[in-house]
Amino acid sequence: MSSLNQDQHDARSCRETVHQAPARSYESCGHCFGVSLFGFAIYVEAPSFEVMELLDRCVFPSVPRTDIASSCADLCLRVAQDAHEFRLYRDDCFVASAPRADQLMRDLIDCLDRGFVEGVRNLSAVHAGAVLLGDRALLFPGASHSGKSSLVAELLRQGAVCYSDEYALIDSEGLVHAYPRPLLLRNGGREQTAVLPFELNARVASSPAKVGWILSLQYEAEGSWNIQEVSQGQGLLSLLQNTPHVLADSPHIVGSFRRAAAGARCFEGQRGDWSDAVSRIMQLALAA
Amino acid sequence: MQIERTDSKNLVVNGLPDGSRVIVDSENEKVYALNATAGAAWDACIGQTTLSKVAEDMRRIGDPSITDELAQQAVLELQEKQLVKTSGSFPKASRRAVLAGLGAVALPLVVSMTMGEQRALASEARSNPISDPPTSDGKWCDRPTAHVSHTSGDRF
Repeated sequence: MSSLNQDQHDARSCRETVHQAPARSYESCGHCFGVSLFGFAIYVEAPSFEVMELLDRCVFPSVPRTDIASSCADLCLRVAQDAHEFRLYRDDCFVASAPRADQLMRDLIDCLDRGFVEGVRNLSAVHAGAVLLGDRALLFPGASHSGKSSLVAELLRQGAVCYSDEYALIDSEGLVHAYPRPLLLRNGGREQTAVLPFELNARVASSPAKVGWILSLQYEAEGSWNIQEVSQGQGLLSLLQNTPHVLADSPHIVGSFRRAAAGARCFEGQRGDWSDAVSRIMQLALAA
Repeated sequence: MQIERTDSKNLVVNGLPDGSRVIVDSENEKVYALNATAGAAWDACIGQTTLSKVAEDMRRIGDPSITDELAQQAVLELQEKQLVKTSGSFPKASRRAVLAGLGAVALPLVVSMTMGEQRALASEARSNPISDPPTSDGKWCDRPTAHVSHTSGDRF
């Protein structure tokens, strides 16, 4: 302890005051709760029970709630209300306002995603859909609007276990961990709906897994399934092309991603509609 | 003809089980992904060497069926990406001769990305990247952002 500076000492003291709370006991600190994922502590506060229920659904709903003081959290998400509107704050930074609390949920999830990715230690994120098939993780890294969430949702309906429709979290051994926020599914337009894996009769993965497949798929509306196997080096490159971490600032990610790609079969190509793609992906996985 | 690796002091080479390589060149701010054939050629280009020695080493450490023409194609690929430099001229190899040497061996391939490109891609590696202006230091929301009105009615 003597080697810790004051900030580290204060942070440790804060962590030591974190206790497991009874499940969903908002009354313990008003309309608020804490949640800790991979050591990243989040404090969530709402102006009413109704808004708290919305937040509870969005912020890692499968992870047990804890009591975390806002001063000790790595990320504070607050929704406040006045006579006219609801306001969302990240830490003490105003993010957005809207007439209805549910209209803030997309921004709240953005705050959660980015705060977590920037702040979590010992894990590297890849912007990818990720599911468990058998005992191996399947990753499909890709840009926004490339259909990752739809593919994840359909794979879950087909029996896969959920890691995430947004980020695959990769540890220093190259294992994939779940990022357990709700799936955000589009219904053909810009509108998105938060869906929990259990609503698709699926569950969130509770343990890490080795990567079995990396599929870099481009969506072509009129296209058909056309992929080719590429080297693991190219698979690693696709992880680097889809991570929110800047390589120049975080050179260690190469080692984590190398270990992830080292056990994987890697493919690149195009896909057509998601139903055909899911069928092909399942065939690929079953053939292994 | 002489072949040698370019003189870059900060190359980190990551080997993968399938023989491919990912090379991070922090000095020139580039990342290269070499498939197994290009990776074998890279491994063979130690010190000053010749094309026939490269081909021989590639056969020894890689696939015994690698032809001289395929080795030459791999060196050319590495040269194009400035990973090796050559002096003198190559013997002329036709595309047909290169393809004839393929068999189970893949054509050499080197894919590259600059650190600047990676940084740009990193800022986009999330859903909903358009709605949030990046800050100068690449961080997000370190200062109050403008009011965001919601007219589309995103529902949860």
